[in-house]
Amino acid sequence: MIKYTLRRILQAIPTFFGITLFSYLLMTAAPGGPEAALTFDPRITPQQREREAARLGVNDPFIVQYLRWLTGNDWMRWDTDGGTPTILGLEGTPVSNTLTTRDLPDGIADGSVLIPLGLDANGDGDYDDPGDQIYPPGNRYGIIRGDFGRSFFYNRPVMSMIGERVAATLELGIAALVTGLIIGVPVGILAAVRRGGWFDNLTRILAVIFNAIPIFWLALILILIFGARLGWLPMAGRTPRVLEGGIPPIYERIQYLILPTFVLATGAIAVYSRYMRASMLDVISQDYMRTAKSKGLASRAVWFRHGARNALIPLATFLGPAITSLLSGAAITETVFGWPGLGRFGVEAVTAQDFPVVMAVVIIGAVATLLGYMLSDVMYALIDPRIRFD
Amino acid sequence: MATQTQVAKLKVQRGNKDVGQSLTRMAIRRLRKDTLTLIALFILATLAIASFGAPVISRALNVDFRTNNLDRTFAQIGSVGTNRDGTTAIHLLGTDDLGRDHLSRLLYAGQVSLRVGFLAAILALGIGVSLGIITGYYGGIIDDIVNWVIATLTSIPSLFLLLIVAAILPSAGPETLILVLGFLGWTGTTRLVRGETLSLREREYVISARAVGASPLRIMFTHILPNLFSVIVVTLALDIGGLILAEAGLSYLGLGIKPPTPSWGNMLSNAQDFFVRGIHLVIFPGLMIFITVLCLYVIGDGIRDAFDPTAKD
Repeated sequence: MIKYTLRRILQAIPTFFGITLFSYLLMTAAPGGPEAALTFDPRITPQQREREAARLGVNDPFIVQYLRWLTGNDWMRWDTDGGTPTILGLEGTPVSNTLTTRDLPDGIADGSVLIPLGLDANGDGDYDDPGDQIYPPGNRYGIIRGDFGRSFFYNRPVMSMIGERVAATLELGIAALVTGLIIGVPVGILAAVRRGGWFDNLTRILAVIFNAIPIFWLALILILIFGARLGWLPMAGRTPRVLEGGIPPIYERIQYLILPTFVLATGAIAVYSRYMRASMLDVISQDYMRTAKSKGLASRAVWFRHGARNALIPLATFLGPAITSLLSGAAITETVFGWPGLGRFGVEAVTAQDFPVVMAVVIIGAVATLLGYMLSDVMYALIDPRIRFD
Repeated sequence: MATQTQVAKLKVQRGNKDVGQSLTRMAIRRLRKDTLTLIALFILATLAIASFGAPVISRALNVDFRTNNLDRTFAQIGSVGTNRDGTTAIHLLGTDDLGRDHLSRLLYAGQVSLRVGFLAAILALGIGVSLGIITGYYGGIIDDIVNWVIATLTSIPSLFLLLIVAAILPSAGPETLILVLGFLGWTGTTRLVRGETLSLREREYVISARAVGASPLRIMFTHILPNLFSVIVVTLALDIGGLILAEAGLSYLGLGIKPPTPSWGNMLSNAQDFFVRGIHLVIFPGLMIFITVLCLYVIGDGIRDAFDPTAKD
């Protein structure tokens, strides 16, 4: 089992690098790059702009920039213009076109090359060459250690802003997942037990409808009916507007949770009920079901103790896909309901072109999904031993 | 014994209309009897014709989807108004917050949404089917690389993926959106087609084609691709629906089709402001998306059932 889990973790590593590489590629493809966003001031001179670009290291080869973004720069030297830049001890390999022409370090941190600490610009371990200078290390930890930089828009560390919002998303996501299971699983079982009956047909139609309905529109209609017209439920937000000291416990603001949870859960309900029905139908044709029936067990015991419990097993594989669809849905649901979570934060960041925040939200979402897939695979292997030995 | 059973089988088959019919023929015959799918097809066709006939309908009602008329904002359903030139305009579905005719905007928006959904689905399908056949047929390193890309793309929540691309292309028109949705939406099709190809590759007719020296390209195009026809048609219908939903979601968030170009999604962008004065502005755009996607899903399911060789008439 440990071996299987380890193998599964190893398999996830290339995907993780794929995600970061893909996100970073897309971000650098953004018009103007990060230096355009930071040097928007029209009074800036070309020299200043170049210096700013050097400080940000945007002229470095892509792979250097990617590695610096991924792993941080606190383990490497931080001033390099002048001398011969070196990548990771590869002597004399120029990595920056614009900076090699200068002769002496100007003492301004630019972080344009990767030089491991303890090596000077020539790759030697000593500092007795003429012009050698001890450079301070950088202060970025890299996204692999949770440092997503500072938000362009708020100028605050992205990680702490994410931390403020993650609880809201978890609250909504877990509520929706639980709702999806509580409604979807029994509906699927009943539909399978009464196969071809009116309940089966009704739930089949409802599942197609739930899949085809745009969730933001469903949200709007529900807000219109229950919020604006009937006034039973609040129209938006996570808490009552007047707040003194923190967020009240969840049971005091359950009315705020009802509509967003239902909207977010519709997809899960539709998927779980159909999946549970199919799984249940598979189980029904098994021999042990016939045995249970023929030995005279009450039909409730047959259906639930022998049927449903076995039909639930494949549901374990659904955690990974469920997390992706919940997060995708959360971006829309949170925006419609003004829910202060990660999804809405991401949408706002896209509108504001706040790339560090967009990156952080996307990567955190992807890693959560990856963990979800891994967890469901391991869970499945735990339940069904055949999987482990393929 | 064997001959007797064979004769019996033949006798049974004579009464069966399926004998001598291709699967496609049989599927079409089944579809003709499938009322639900036919209704969905009819509704979808009506919507499409109305959308692409929007100029004609607008002229007949003497309305224009672009012209603001601040004297006639939030006109109710079925109201009659006066244009600036003094002629009478019939606002069958009322007007919006800027006094533009709602019905004609809905129809023009339909053009955009249907076009984006359809073309993006075609693009995604093209990429998905070709990659699926190639990876399924060759396997090896190509398969590994494509699988890595798929694993990467599917582990990023789809809307986040679209968000990050939308962040990079801030002023995207419908064409850009088609490319984005198409280039990000092929993974499911590839998986499906790859699986089918893996099993088709081992069939006797493919092996014999290889034995007589058919080139891989010929095998893929003339022996494998035609057998994927039903998979492709079903995927197309379901993909168009899914992509219309994706486009609507993005446009609703202000990241897809940008106003003043109407799309069903962006017409709902500030729907919360209409709750008091113009409920029709909240209901109809969403209803259009819902009906269109529902029809496409029903059609997809119908085609899948029609092509199911194990199904009985």
